[in-house]
Amino acid sequence: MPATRWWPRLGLRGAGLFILLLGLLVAARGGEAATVAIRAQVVLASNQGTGTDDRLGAVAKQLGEAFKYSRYELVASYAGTPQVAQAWQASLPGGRTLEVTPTAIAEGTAVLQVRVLGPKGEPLMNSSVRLPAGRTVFIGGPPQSPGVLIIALSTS
Amino acid sequence: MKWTCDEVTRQLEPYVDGELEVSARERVQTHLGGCERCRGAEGALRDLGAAVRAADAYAALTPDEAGAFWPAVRGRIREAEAIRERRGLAAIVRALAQALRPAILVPALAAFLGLILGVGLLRTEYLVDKAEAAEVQSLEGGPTSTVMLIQEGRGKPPVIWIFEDGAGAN
Repeated sequence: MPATRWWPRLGLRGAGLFILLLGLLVAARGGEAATVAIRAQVVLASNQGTGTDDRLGAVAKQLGEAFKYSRYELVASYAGTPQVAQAWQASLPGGRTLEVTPTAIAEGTAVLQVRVLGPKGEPLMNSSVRLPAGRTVFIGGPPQSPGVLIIALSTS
Repeated sequence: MKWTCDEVTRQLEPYVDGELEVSARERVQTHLGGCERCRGAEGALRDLGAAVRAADAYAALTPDEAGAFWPAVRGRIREAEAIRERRGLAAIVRALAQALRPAILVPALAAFLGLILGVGLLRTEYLVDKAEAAEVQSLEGGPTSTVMLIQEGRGKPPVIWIFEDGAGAN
């Protein structure tokens, strides 16, 4: 068979196979629900005593730069991977609740609706935060003896 | 009368062996002076003769001489290879010297520094801050609370501060 007859056929078959695999890849990715990995570290910040909890890791330095408390203690740490429009909740001291709902996820950045609810479910704060992977937002202020609560919310 | 190539070719072997008479030798020499093809044939014949003489000389060697023959050949080959290697090294040095000319070196250094600078800039906090900073897009308090946004910028996390009713600012 002359070379000019089978090369074009091979090229068409190759292109067809490539398009098929590409379609399968797109379909597979489309089938996956977009999720975002969330981490919430609940910190009790106070001026009673000194020191920073070793478990705070990289957040410890950021806390020290942003606030003037003398002591930072990790009281709870939560992690979750909610889908878009799926609410993810974490319990906070004092009967409060942190609620995070991803509203958009694209290219390593998530847009989150973040709410802090009081003991009766009343909203204390409602915010939309654009949070790239590896970045942190602090939510603080709720009083908790002997200081205040600070939540370090980050995505990965 | 001049000889043709065929005639000269027939006389080449006795010519190379020095067996021709003067007149015939002069005719061959005259022809070889103007004929490249016959000169090539003469050269090949002389090389063949040299090879045959070398073979004869090897056959005539005593056992001791024959034993030393091939090591001597290998030594000569190694010498030739060493000379070739030295020439190769010299060529590399020349190529390096060529590459270090300002016309080539300066653009190459500029490109290298540009690459390093570009990579360094991409790693700076400034660009990360611009491209990938956390951003609070909207913020509101509740019926029993007030909120405040503190954004110090330059890569620092934004801070949302909640003032619950009855609680003082911290």
